Amino acid sequence: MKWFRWIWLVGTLALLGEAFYQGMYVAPTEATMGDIQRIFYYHAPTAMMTFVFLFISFAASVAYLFYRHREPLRAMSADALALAGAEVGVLYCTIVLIQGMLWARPVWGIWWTWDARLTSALILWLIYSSYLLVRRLAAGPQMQTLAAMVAIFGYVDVPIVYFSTTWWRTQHPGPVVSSGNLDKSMWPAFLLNIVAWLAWGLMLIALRYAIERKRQLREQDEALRALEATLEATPWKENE
Amino acid sequence: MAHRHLILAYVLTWVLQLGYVGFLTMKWWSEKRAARSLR
Repeated sequence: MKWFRWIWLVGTLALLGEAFYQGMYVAPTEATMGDIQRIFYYHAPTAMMTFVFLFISFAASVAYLFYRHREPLRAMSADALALAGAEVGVLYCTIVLIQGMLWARPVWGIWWTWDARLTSALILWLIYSSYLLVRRLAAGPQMQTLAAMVAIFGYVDVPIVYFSTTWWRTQHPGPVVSSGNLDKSMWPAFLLNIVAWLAWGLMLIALRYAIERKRQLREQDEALRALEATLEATPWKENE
Repeated sequence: MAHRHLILAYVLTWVLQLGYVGFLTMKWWSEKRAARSLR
């Protein structure tokens, strides 16, 4: 399987290179905004992937709650996947917020405005950052359950972020892709960026998952050793 | 200014992405060390 990882890495880097080239040089310059519109080619795919990776965290959290008493080993794997999805989701969400501000300054003349899309996206970032903080700061056996609840309830904000531009009047542009307003010549750059950032994000999730599983197994091993040491040190009395 | 922001957005994207890769690499090595010391 080692060769598969290398092929994935090389393929992802090639895709990212081609996506960058298509977005920066091949796609036509937009008539009203000019070159700054090219941020769209990596801002929108990064936002879409934020939803996808947070969905992985949400689904894995549901699986954790389902399996935690039935199959604890499977529940631990689900918990590791939930953490990986949330961490990469928060990373992508951070990038989306920064890219958005850098686009807004030359186009709107301001870095930030409290409109529905921007505010709900910031709340999403805060919710999943809290999820990561809960995992880091809470102690005891209830930590995973508590974190899973935060991930599940937190995901309610994703459809709010997505539909915010249609439900409310926002300064943020309305849906360009789903409304069919994206010009044909812009699609190759857009689709390539989606695939490339998805492949990159999945690679990060796989790596984070592997590290978390390693930590879980080490902790189990440590607990077993501690138990063995306690049993050996206990002075058992025969025929008591 | 627009063009400068376009490049800055791309650079910051990669700074954050590679920063996270660095964080994962450090975590990976610390787990490896901890597992080795347990053996």
